[in-house]
Amino acid sequence: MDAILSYLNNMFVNLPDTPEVRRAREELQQMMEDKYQELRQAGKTDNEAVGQVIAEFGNLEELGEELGISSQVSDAHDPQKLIAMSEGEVQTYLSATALSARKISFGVALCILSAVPLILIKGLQDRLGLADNLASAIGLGALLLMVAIGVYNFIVYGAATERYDALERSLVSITPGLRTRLLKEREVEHGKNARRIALGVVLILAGVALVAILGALELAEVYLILSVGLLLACVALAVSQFIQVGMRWEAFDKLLNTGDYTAERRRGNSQLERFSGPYWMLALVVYLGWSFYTGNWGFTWIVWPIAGVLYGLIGAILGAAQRDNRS
Amino acid sequence: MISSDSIRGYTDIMILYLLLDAPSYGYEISRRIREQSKEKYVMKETTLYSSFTRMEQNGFIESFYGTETAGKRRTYYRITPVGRAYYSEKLQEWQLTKEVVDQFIRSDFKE
Repeated sequence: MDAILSYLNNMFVNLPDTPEVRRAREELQQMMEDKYQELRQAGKTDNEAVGQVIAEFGNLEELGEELGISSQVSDAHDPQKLIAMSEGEVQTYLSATALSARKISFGVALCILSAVPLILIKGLQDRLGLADNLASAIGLGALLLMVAIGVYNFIVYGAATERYDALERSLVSITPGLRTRLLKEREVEHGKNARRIALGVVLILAGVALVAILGALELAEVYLILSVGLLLACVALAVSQFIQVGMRWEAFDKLLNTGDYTAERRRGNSQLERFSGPYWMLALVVYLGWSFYTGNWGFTWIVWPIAGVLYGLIGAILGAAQRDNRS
Repeated sequence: MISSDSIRGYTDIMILYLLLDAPSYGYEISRRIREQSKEKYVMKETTLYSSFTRMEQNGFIESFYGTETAGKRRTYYRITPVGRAYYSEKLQEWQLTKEVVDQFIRSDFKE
């Protein structure tokens, strides 16, 4: 019986994963299994039955025309074209998204951390013996530089994956062999990704707890300032983990036509990925606008932990809403 | 042994014949073709499936899911009115083919 399945697997391994091909495979497998069962009941040995089933199977080339034609027919009816991707293209796509995930999350981290030099230098200017104006200038300069690098990353590496925009709406066709490998790879990464998300949540909570405890202890202001810097560093690290895990997961979903990228869901839905860019830009605008308007840099950094937690919340709500819509 | 070339034009007729009275599924059709032909012809699985998809696209048969006693979900095929018309067309074609080919058969032929 296993011999029949592996024979069928080998026959189909290089065919694209389309509904027509899947259906052909299922039907052929069903017929072969039925025939095998009957031969066994008629007293044939396993070897004899397998041999006869395979000998009488025929030739897949006979189906090539039907499968090819039928997929073209369904393409004509369906605006959602299939995009066939080779193994090389899949690898290139995965490394391109991994690179842009690293760069974008680094950009977000820089924006979140942009207030840290300013807060530290303003808090410590008396101890360091710096003039008020000079301290402000250094802090603001560092802030603007970090924000500029962050925005540069958003724009450049956001555009780097633009040539894969077609994957937003079109289903991807890869060979069943490659699909099996990708599923396995994703399974292996799943545990690691869950740990990264958990680590991020713990980091934010620990940072908030630290600020709260030090605030309650009424220690010298310098400790409070340091703890705020530490909190922002925790938030930056956590958010960059969220972004990288999310983008990696979405890349797999796109390749495998799973999650938010099944045939039905690909037809126009709001995705976290498209929401992320504008979201962090908005957070940045709110932060800079508020800070420059009030000049209260020692307090406005609160935008970042709130934005980080909200990002996680909104992502979870969006995901849950999408699941509800379809079930 | 029948060459697959000579019988290719008539796989549809064999399948439709078996569907005239009741719907059926892949392996049952395959088994009944073997029995009906007195074990002289076994239709390959790929030939059978290729004929299913072609005839379904042409509207001669329809597929639907049915459950057998064993609880397995199977694809069943039923003949449509268009399929019956096609079957009757193929019968006439076969009569003609037989008449024509018969004219070239020398029944007392010895090598």
